[in-house]
Amino acid sequence: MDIWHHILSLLPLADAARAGCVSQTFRSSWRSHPNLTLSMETLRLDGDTCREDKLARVFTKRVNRIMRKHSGGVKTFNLSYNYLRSFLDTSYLNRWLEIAVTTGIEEVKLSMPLGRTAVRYEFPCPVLSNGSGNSIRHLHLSRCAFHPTVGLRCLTRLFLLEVHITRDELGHLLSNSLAMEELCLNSCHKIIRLKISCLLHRFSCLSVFHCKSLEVIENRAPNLCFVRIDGAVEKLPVGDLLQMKRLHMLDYYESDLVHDARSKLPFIMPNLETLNLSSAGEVYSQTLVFPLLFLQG
Amino acid sequence: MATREAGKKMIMLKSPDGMEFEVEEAVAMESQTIRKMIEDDCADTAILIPNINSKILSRVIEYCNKHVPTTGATGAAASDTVAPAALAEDLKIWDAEFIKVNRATRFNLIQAASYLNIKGLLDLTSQTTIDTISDNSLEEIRSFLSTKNDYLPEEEQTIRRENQWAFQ
Repeated sequence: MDIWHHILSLLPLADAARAGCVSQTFRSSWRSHPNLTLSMETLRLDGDTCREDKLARVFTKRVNRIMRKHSGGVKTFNLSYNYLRSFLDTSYLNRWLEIAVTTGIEEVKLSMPLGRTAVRYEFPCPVLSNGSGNSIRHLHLSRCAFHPTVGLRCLTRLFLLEVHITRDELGHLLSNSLAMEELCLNSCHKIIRLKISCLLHRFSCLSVFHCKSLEVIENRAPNLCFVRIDGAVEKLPVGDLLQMKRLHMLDYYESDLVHDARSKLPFIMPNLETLNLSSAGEVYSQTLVFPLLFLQG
Repeated sequence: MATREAGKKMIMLKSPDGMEFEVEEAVAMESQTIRKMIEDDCADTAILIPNINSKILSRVIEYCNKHVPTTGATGAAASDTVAPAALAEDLKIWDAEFIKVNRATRFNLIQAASYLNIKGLLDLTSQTTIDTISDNSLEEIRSFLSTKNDYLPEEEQTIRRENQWAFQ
């Protein structure tokens, strides 16, 4: 019955699994539960009670059982494996993604283990081809390799944390995902140059943190208005910036961020309305006054 | 038979037990199903709402009357002078009172909200059921929702074993 299916789809994972035991109708709703948030917490695993390798085995077993019995129609697939450093058999993970990522899926979040000893997992990009990835609106990947070969038609938000992706791969994905609105890159060290295409008319928000190799951000998207970035003023995007309204800058190292922002920003982003600066090593001692006309929204 | 009253377009809704309810078009359009009928020009005469008796339909209309946006709406909604936060709080209290109904009425309201596609009412009526499922044992859920256990004993054992983790 549609109503039960609707109600059960709103339940958290464990409650939905329990409700699946009520009757056959409820079981079929559970097996097509559209929102799969799979984590230690939702799978009722307590990290204090047993050893990590055992936790990893139980985690895999529980998720595998849920996914094998799943009849399809997943809308959000959110798997957090980040607190378990033990080896996760990646062939399982590939299989789960094959089951979850089908036409109609809207959100994929995948968070792999922390730490250098963690296994380097490569996201299986073939699951995104043949139209399966075309309904994805949010893609959020942490600590894995990602080598996309196709654009994602409905993608609006892309979040990459410690992801191995090259400049060309990201460039190709961005210029073929024309619904993009927001991009967040954190610690993606293989990217040297980032170009936002002029075809991304809806693109409005860019965040870039800890991307050590990144030398140039070139923006051609006509509606980019909010940028969050770390580093000195030299790290700011170049290109079309007249429409910029909000800027957050964070500098951990010794530099004169406030001083530089004062002297340069009025020329680079003359229409800025909100400016948020965090400078850890400001050495310029003179009282700073931003030009009055600047920053009046 | 759509009529006009004091400049507001009215719509006639009819329940299967023969009762007629004249409501403002804006109120009726809180239902996406009715909105679509109106937009597709299928609403010249009275709209028959199948499977929803007059008692439930009148409660649904009561809900829509309260929740219709203020502009051009009935006196039931707050005026422009009320702050949005106060308005939201007032609606929350009103909703909590509205949903204090017996099990059968709530189930009928869920069905009505689902058929008429009224998201707010569906969320409100569903939430109470969700709370029941979260807090009670299987037997209590079955009894509360008047759902029969149609599993064969061995089937139930299998599904219980599969989902044992969720009972921990």
